[in-house]
This record gives sequence, structure tokens and C-alpha cells, in this order.
Amino acid sequence: MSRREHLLEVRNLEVVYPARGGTVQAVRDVSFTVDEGESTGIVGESGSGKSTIARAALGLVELPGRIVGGEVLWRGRSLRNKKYARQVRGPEISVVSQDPMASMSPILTIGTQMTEVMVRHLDLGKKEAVVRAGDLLEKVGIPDPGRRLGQYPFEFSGGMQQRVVIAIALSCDPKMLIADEPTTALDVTTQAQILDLISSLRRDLGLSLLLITHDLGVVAGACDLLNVLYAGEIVESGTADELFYRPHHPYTAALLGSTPRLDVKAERLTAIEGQPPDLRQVVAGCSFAPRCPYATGRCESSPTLGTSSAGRACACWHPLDSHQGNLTGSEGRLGHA
Amino acid sequence: MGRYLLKRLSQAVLVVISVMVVVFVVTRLIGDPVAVMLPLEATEENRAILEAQLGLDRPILVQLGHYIVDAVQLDLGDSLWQRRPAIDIVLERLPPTIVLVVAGFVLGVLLGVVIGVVSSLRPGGWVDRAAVTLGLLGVSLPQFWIGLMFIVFFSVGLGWFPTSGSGGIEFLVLPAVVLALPIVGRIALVTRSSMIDEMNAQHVKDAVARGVSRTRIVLVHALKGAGIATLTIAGWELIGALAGGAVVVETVYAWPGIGFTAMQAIERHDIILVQAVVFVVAIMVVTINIIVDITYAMLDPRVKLDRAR
Repeated sequence: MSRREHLLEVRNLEVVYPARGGTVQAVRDVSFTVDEGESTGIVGESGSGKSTIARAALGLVELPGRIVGGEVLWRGRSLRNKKYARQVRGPEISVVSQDPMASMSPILTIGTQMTEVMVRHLDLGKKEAVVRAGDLLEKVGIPDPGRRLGQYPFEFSGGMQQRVVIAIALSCDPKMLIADEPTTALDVTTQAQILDLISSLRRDLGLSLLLITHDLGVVAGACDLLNVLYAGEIVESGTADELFYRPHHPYTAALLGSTPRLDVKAERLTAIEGQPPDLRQVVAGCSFAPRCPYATGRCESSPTLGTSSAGRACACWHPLDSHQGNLTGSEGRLGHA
Repeated sequence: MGRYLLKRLSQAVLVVISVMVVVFVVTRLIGDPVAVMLPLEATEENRAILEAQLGLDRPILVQLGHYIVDAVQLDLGDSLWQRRPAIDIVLERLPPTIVLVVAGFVLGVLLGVVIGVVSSLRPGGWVDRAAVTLGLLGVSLPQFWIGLMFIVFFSVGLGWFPTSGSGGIEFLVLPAVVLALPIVGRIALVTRSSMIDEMNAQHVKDAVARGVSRTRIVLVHALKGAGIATLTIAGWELIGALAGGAVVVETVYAWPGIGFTAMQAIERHDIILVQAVVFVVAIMVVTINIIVDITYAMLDPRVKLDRAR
């Protein structure tokens, strides 16, 4: 354990939601950290709990959701303290979310939406705030910022809107940006532009990034570290390169295998067989076992996310080595599950 | 803006004329004014003379034509009851109605918005449930009954306010409150539900995440959005208070406005005066509608009044 203080530390986080027929265990024993200047990705399919983690990292798990265990620390202090979380949101942590149009108030000018937080958190006068807002718009690549500040979100195109959202998020010069599916609502060319923008802003401003997505293509270029989330648990973590080229967990490998590739001609898209487990029931053993071609009797007890070499961790009894990277075509082994 | 106003005003003229035609027809269906005006022992001859004097012996279409041509010149005829220009009577009685309607409307909207916002902050909490119950009571209790109960309780029982009539501000309190109650109810219910929607909207959640203060979230981000729905209802409420509520409340409290006048005119079969009241109210209603639409455009930048065609 390093004595260095992490920027964001999520430690054994457990979040539940009440639901018909029980409680949904949305986040189960999740731990990870984000350090200064680092960019961490959380990858998982819908319902894997990734957005809940994003909300928790803002100190914003609201009813009916409840944090029932663990901690979310910002610079060593708990974000479960509401007052502290309020101080942190804006000047320390900010967000970019999925749909830029839905993310901004439709009836306030973007100038208002940028300056309102500056006036509150940066002690700026109205005029200085407007100047700063103009600079930020320029920085995210919006021409003619003076005129644009007086416009409303609907007067921008989708890609431009997401740039504005990023500028709003940067209003108070935060240390970390949480980007929850920042490109999902955009078309592919715009996606690339927005990801480039986020990466260059990270370099220029020394921002940390917590990038949450279902899309491996998005994290590939943007993240140093990766956490793969499955059914509310981190099943594998490590550097992005390691995970991409030598996945250890069968789920990571299956996710990679289901990404459509341009260089391989395929009649059908590869999908992972089966469904994620119902999180209203207690999941005994490895949660991926029912869909895993490598599952054996041993998988009925829970594997732990032990740290192995080079900061890698994998919660699996049967981790793959580098020779077995691809799962496709191995369905025959499902019979052993 | 100019073109828009011109278009709306010409539509408004059409609406007012249509209303006039409908009222003209209806007032001629509800009874014979001549029969009411003449003493019981009047002869057929007296009758014919009076009819000729009033011009009621002419064919109905001719009457209607004259009536509209005169109305456009603001000549609405002489009141059968008071034997002087009907428009003068209406304009004399208009200020008390405006005072009453404005007082009741402003009170109703302010209270309604405050109650709606406060109850939306904790949906399902006891404040919210109390507010919803009160709102439903305000909407569903009939005004004439509340008016009478208030007189029994506050005027006769406690002696706080005069029972009826007009004069100082103390005469205004009860009728204004009674006029305001259903407005409070509906505005509160609508504001509450659209506030709850707004507070759960993605842009409000994201604004919280970006560090916008709670006060600004509620009063600017959520309330400005919710205000659009509230404005729609407020427009209807103002029209309802003017065209409906005022008649009931003024009659209960003998408030000398156009609503009370309309009731008196109907009782006396004074069709000329009824038409004059409706004429003035119709003009006010279409004006309110235009103002509401312009206010929309001010609240919501996505609404463009002058859409180039």
C-alpha cells in the first residue's frame, strides 16, 4: 500500500436499490482509485452499476438508492458527508453526461449556465465570469464565443453541445472530470473529436478523468487504467494495454471478442451467450460462471480480486493466459458449466 | 413581433364578432324583454309600440347586422333597464371587477406557486400531502358555497369583515380570497407536478453535479421550466376568474362589478346590457390570450412568435 493520498478512492462500495421482489445489489464491493492526472475507465454493460458508481463518486447516491457499505473518499475525506460533497462538486469534481441536450437547461443561455457556478465557487464577479466563460468556450473549440454565450443549447449541433457541456464542466477548474458515456449520443466522427478534446484538455489542464462507458473503443485511447465491471463487481482491473492485449478474466475476453472488427469478416456479430444475473438474488460464487465457458465446480465459491503482478487484478479461478485471448468458437465447453 | 401581433389581432376581431353573434342569438332565445318591461295590464298595442321603439320588430338578420355595425363603433345600444348607453354602464362597473379579479388572481397565483414549489421539495412528505389535500379542496369546493360559509364565519360570526358591498379594502378581502381559492388549488397542483418533473430531469441532476446551489436549482433551473406549465394554467385561471368566478363571487358579495351587473341584467331580460358585458369580457379574454402567448416566448427561448413562412 502506498502512503500517497489518492484523489478519489472508492473502497469496498456497496449500493442497493429497493425493487419489487427484493433489493437490487447494484454495486458490490467495488474498490478503485483515481490519482492526480490519471485517467481511469470503468467498462460494463447496461445495468452493471457503472452509473451508480459515477453518482457515488459525486456524493450523489439519492433515494431510493442507498450506500450500505464502504467509502467514497475525495482527498481522504468522505463524500458521504453531504456538506463536503457540496463543496467538492464544481470546483473539484465535475461531470459530462451522456446526452448533451438533456444535460443542459433548455431555457437558460449557455453563458448563464457557465457563469452561475463560477460566481458561486470561484468568487468571480459577473463580468470576470463572462470573460472566463468565453475563454473556456474557445478552449473547447467553439468559434465566436462572445456571441455563443448568449445562445441557448438548442442553437448548437450535437457535437457542439457536448463541447459546451465540457466547457460548463470545466467552469470552476475541477481536478477530476467524471464522464459518464460522454460520446454515446453522438455520431462516430463526432465521438472521435470529443474524445480527442477530452484527451487534450487532460494534458493541458492536468485533469484526472473517470470515464464510464460500455464501449471498449472509447476507453481504448482515453484511459490509462481500466476496471471491468460485471453485475456490480469489478472482475478485472489493470492498465488499458494489458487488458486489451492480454485479458485474464473470461468476461473481459468475451467483451473484447464481441467488439465488431473491421479487419475480420464476420457473418454475424459475436455476442456473449446468456444474461447477466438477477441482482435481486444473492449471487453465490462467480457471477459470470453461468455464462462462462471455463466454469467448473470451483466457480461456485466467489473468487476474490487478488492483485497480481504489475497492479493487475482479476477475480477468476481460471484466468486466461495470453494464448487463449479469444473466446469465440469455444462454446463447446459450455457443457461443463 | 409586429407581424405576429397584427395576425393575432385580426384573429381576435373575428373571435369577438363570433362571440357577439352567438350571444345575440342566445339572448333572443331566453325570453322576451318586452314582456318583462311592460306592466301586466299592457295591451297588444303598447307592446307593438315598445317593440318598434326598441327595433325588435325588424327581421332578426337586420337586427343582427345593425347590431354588429353599431358594435364596431362601440355603440352597443341603450340598456333596457337603465335607459342609457349600455357601454357606459359596463365601463362604470368594470373598475371594481378589475380590482377584484386582479387581487384574486395575483393572490391565487402567488400562493399557488409558493405552495406548489414547497410541496414539490419533498414529494410524499406531510407538507406535500397537506398541500395536495388543500389544493384538491380549493379546486372542488363550489365558490358560491365557500363564499356563503366565509360570510357566516368571518363576517357574521367573527365580525372581521363586512358581509357584502364595497368601500374600503376590508370589503375586498373575502371576495378576493374566495375568487383566489380555486386558482390557488389548480396552480399549486400543476406547479407541484411540473416542479417534480423538472427536479428529476437530467439537466437538473447534472446542474447539481456541476455544483449549482440548491437555491438556484429550485428557483431558476426547475421553477423557470415549471413556469411554462404554470403560465398556461394561469392564463386559463385569469380568464375563468374574469368570465366565471367574478359573476359568482360578485353576486354573493354584492360587489358592484360587471359580473354582478350581468346577473342583474339577465334577471331583468336586459339583453342589450348582457350583450355589452359579454362584448367587453370577450375583448379582455382575447387580449389575455395574446399576452399569455407573448409571455411564453419570453419564458421559453425555443418558442418563436414570428416563424418565417
